Amino acid sequence: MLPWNPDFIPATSTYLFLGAFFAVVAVVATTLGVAALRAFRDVSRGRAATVRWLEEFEELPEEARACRHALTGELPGRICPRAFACSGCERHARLVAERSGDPAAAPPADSLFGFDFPSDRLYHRGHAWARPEEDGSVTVGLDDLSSRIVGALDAVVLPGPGERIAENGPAFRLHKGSARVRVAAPVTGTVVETGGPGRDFYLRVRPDAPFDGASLLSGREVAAWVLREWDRLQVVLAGPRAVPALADGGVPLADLSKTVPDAERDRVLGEFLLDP
Amino acid sequence: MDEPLIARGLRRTTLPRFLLWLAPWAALLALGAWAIFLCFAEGLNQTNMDNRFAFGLWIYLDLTVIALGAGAFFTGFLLYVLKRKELRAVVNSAVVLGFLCYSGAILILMVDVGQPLRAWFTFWHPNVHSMLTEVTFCLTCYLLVLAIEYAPVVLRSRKLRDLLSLLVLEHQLHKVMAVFAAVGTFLSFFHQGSLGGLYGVMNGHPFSYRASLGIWPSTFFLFILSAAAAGPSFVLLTTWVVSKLSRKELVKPEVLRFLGKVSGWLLLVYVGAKGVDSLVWLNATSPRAGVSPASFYAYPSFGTWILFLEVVVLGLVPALLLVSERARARTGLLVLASALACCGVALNRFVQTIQTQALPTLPFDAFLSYSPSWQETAAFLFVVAYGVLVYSISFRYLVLFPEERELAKG
Repeated sequence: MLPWNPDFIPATSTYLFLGAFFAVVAVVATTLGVAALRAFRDVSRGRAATVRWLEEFEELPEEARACRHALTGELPGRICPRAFACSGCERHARLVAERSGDPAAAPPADSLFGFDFPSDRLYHRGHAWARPEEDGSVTVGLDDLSSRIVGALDAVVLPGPGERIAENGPAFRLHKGSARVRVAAPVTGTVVETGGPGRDFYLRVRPDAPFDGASLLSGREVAAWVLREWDRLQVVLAGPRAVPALADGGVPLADLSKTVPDAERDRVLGEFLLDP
Repeated sequence: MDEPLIARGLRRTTLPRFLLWLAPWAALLALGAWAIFLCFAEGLNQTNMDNRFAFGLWIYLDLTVIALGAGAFFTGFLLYVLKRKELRAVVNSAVVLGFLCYSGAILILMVDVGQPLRAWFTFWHPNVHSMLTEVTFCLTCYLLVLAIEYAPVVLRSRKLRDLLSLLVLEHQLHKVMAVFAAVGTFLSFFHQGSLGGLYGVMNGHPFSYRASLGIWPSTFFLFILSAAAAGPSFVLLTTWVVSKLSRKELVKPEVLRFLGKVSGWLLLVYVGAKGVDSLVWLNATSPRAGVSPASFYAYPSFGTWILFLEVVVLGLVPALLLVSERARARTGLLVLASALACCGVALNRFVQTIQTQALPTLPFDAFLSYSPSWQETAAFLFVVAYGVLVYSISFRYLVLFPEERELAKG
């Protein structure tokens, strides 16, 4: 097989055959090596959470990947091509600039369809909110819609003070019955304080850079998004082949978790909190 | 019980029912393992092969599963190289099938050769003039490529994805998958071809000997074509069978129809080439060797019906069905045609392997019959059981059909 092998035959056919074989082995080994090196680079640069989110985003159903401007009707039917990383999106920047003089861009009311969505905070599409505080920190919590779907929790797994979280990576985990779901973080930074279900917030985070929340929803986007999520929840809860029904008045239950069968809870929460 | 291991959103049967499904296959696997042990411990006297019938059930199995496993390389080629995105829906399943077919073939080849501890000899002392050396090198490399293609499917499983480093590796592997798909295609072309070439160069067997095109006998190209044609049909057929067994819609009907269309056109080209090849062989190659073509079909077991069955019933008929848009639109016909195409390639490998050796080659030779021993049959079933078990476990815990979740919503 190799020239120093005693029965190596130095003929053209030998060189052709073994040349092709070693070329294939070299291509496979090099490609594998490149993938491993890139993976090592991503992990060592702390991009693992981002990569995880990119993987998860690909697996989300189309309706959960809708562009924020599709929610508001500015770009109907558009699917976000950037895994909700709006800060580098030219179309988003252009639409936001056009919107700035629009009186309809006023912040919505704090109550939307019977849910509390205070306008002092920004909302992640995975139902976490982020509120910038005066001291530069950001508090993170779970929005009212998802809190009602989750209901009383069996356990919450929070990162400890000093631990780092990354935007779109896991912020904290919720345990309820057979369900184990993560809530995606709306901010990158270091945890400075932990809260919980009984308090106003789950985490207080010192962001790595001044917080701008460019990828989070605000203003009139929130109302459009909540309405879409309310429809999506009906479909998720009703199971296969369901369609959202028109609202017939009334207000949502304070504890929607009772409407979710335990056997379906993991699927429903995973789908709703964008944890595929 | 094992719900935390099942990908979120996939509906699977209960664990006891799943174990009940696995039990008979596990029993078959155990029986096969015992037979393989006997072959290793006692030698090939456990088989009904002999010096003249040196290729038996195992080589037939190898050739058939390698041809059917071509669905992996061809699906990968269409998706990653020709960018047919709709095949994303079946590529994971195709890769698993390919991996099982090739690993099963290599496993049974180890038993056949009988000295697995000396397997490395073939690499260290290669006979570069042998078709089988090329086959061995290509099979080994391609199994490695299939393992690399299988790895991301496993790394995306619900539990393993929590290991972030592995998930990042999976992400990066996915980005370079086109290279592996291209390498897989290159390797598959050559080893499928060389397996056919192996028979075509046997000038001591006029039944299988064929005239050469360049340095390769025509069977080299026919094997490539037939494998490329049967591979997508096998992916289609298994997807349909799994869908029926699990009572779930796994892919959109358009995906199955596209696979059928690809398979149909390739099969049509193959049948045309096979027809021309048969005419040249019967009218020129054999008479030139002093053999009457009628003598090939003079024995009751292998009359001309077998040629008709292979080329027309299991070749032309499924090809015409699969290229017809109206036939493809009917799932029953689509699946039937795919099953016929798969049976056709299996029959072709049977004819090449068994009929070739059964026919006498010298005036004093008799027609030889062969039937496998129970050890050979059990080892064959070992590979079948291994395939069913690993595929079933993969189907339960991995996402083999990415559209399944969406389709379940209706």
